[in-house]
Amino acid sequence: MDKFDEYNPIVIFTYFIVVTSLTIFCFNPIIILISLLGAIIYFNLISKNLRLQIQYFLLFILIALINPIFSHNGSTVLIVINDSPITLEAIVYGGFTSLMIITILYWFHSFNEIMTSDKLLYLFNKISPKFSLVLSMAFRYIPLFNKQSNKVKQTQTTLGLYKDGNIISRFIGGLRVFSIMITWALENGITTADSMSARGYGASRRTSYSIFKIRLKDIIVLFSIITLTISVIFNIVNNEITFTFYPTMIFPKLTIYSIIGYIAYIIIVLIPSINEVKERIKWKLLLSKI
Amino acid sequence: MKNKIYKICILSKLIFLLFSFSIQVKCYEENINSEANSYAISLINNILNYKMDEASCTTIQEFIDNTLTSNAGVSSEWYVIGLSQYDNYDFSRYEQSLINYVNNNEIFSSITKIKYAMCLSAIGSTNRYITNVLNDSIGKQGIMSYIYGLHLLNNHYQSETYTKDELINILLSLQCNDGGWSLTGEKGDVDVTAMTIQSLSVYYNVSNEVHESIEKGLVFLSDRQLIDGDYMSYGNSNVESTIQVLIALSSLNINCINDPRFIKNGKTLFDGIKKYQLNNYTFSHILNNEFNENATVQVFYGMIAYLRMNNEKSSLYIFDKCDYQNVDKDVISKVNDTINDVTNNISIKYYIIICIIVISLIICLTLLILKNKNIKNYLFIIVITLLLIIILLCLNISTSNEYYGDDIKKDNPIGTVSIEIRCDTIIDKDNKDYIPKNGIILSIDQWKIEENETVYDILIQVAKKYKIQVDKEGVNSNIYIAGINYIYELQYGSLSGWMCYVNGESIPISCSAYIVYPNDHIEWLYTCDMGNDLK
Repeated sequence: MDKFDEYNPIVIFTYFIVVTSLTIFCFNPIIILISLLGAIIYFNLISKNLRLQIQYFLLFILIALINPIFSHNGSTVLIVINDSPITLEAIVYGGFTSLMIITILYWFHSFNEIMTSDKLLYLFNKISPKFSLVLSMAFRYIPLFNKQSNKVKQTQTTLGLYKDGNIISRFIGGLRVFSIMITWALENGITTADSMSARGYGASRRTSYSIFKIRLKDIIVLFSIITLTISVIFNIVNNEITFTFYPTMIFPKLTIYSIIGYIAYIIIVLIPSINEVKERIKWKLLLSKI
Repeated sequence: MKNKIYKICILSKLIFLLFSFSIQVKCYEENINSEANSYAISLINNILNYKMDEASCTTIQEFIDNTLTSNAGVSSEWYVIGLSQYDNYDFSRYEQSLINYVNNNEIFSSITKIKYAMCLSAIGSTNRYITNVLNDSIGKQGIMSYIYGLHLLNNHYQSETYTKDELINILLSLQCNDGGWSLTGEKGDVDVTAMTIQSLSVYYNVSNEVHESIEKGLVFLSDRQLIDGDYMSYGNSNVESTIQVLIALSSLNINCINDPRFIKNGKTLFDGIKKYQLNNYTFSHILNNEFNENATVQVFYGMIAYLRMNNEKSSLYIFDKCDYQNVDKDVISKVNDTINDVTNNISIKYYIIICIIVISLIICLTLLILKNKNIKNYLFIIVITLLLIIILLCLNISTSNEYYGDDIKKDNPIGTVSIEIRCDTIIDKDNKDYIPKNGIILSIDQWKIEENETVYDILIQVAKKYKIQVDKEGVNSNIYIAGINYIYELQYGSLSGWMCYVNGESIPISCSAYIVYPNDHIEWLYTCDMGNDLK
């Protein structure tokens, strides 16, 4: 079997839409934790970016702390600050909201790694070639921005900007780089537009070519993803996995249906990781045979 | 051989029968003549047998040691008070269990505390808890805490806060014009009147004032009796009110089946009680309803009160086993409590500040380990830490135990207002636990106010006292109430939310800018249609 990014873009796109939307719309702690687990495993398999993960963790704490400050709903009062109760329920709710956001960030990071612009072009060509071009340009823009800002930062350092190495000077330097980047982005946008029109963009209907085919294994995986998703959606519609946070936390009872739903979601979430691991073992085996 | 075995079998069966029915037989021997008396005895035994069957116990002692002991503090108290006044049982296991319960659980209600103290006193306990309750809880929660407190003092205990005479005078002063007593308002309520009379009954023949007052109360109770012999309270005729009247009359040594004042159309209180009987042993709260535990236990101790009168014993709440002389008067725990309060008050802020300092120290240490030698970094962390500490010191932080439930001291009250919080509009729309069935979240007749207090101040004060959740948005004079008692704005449609009415008119400005005056009537009402569904 191939690695997950070698499947047809339709499969990959459906997969990410399903996983992320289920995480967002269920808002059930178990679903979120399962999704987070799968996201972390897959993220660490395809790119080992420890620094980014530490940033995610800090972001998690920040978002989690915001909810109890603004929401005073909940029956378990921990402390009262100026007549406003800080409740356990609000803290837990904030914690899971924050976990959900982090999970989605993880998934989209993996999505970005896998979904190259040619795949996006292939996906949206049939709907609208223009839209797919704009989309792929927009997706390209974020790494481009990062790259350019690194360049600017390096230039500024050689000019003697970050020599102090403390938080305040770094913050001020960051502001300066950001202002430079905004100017650059606007300028770059105009340049790109000019260059595109100069090369005849919009003069006639766009055509495109892609190398992707729908194979049998794509259909099998797509079918299994859809079947598993339906079993989770069945639970959502029947309120089997609806978690109540306010005013007291009520965890839905575990029934056969909900257990099937959770297991189905675990399988969905682990599909890419299983593929990846399987492929690596196969590779090792092949290497050892040589 | 066969004959012998047969004889032994019969003999052992007889012995078994004798044992199992010995309790009933003992009681039957004493009073056979009176019909009501035998009815009372049979009821007590039937309820006990039913309860024992339910718990699969064979003897009453076993029932006390297993079921009642394991439910100590939850549901057994009235059974224990009843049983301790009925016959001699050993309650030592139950006593230990109840003491554990009161020591390990935070009990907010003063009435419940006094109930536990009464229960301990009834079973002859000398635990310190009784002294604590005597000194702390009497009179803290309205008329019921005075009544229960007087029951305790009637058993010869001493309280530091109130004497018997003070309590009697308070109760007499609370009598309504119609001769009854009530929790709130000017109209007497049957239950409260009966219970007040129970507590005052000891002084019926001692003090003239009490005598007059009780006579008035009896006239009130006599007037309120319905044609079937039962009573009505809060709009429903029910068995509990009838039972309370029976206990009140029994404590005054009035036999309700002989007294013409309490016989209507030839129907006595007993006929009133029988109305609610479902089968041999269970009762319903209101007519033709399902089994009600509360109704059944009240019938149980009501019948015991009646029997005690017939047997010329003291009233139900003068405990036979009470050991008031040896009660543990050690008040160390009380002193400790106040010290704990003070330290608690400091500590919660203290802990948070220590946490912040520890976190900043950890950050500094990691910087040191990473060999960051720039002094500005450390300065920055210190400044942030100091800022956080200053913000914390400005905030008013308290734990939920400190915040809720305390009385609010008012030095210069200029009058009282009445306040109501209701959500009638949504009781049909939802059946969540936190939405009260009758739509009334809170209703207080008299709440002291000081000068320049706003509607918002009053709301926060009552919320603090009665532990109601309030969610506010905004500051100073622009506060908006988003939710009360977990019911939030926009929860039942886009036009729903809390509205404030003072004297029947919705207030045109923010509740934290509207100043209340004495005798105002404040209403917080939940609307689903911008107020159109309210008036």
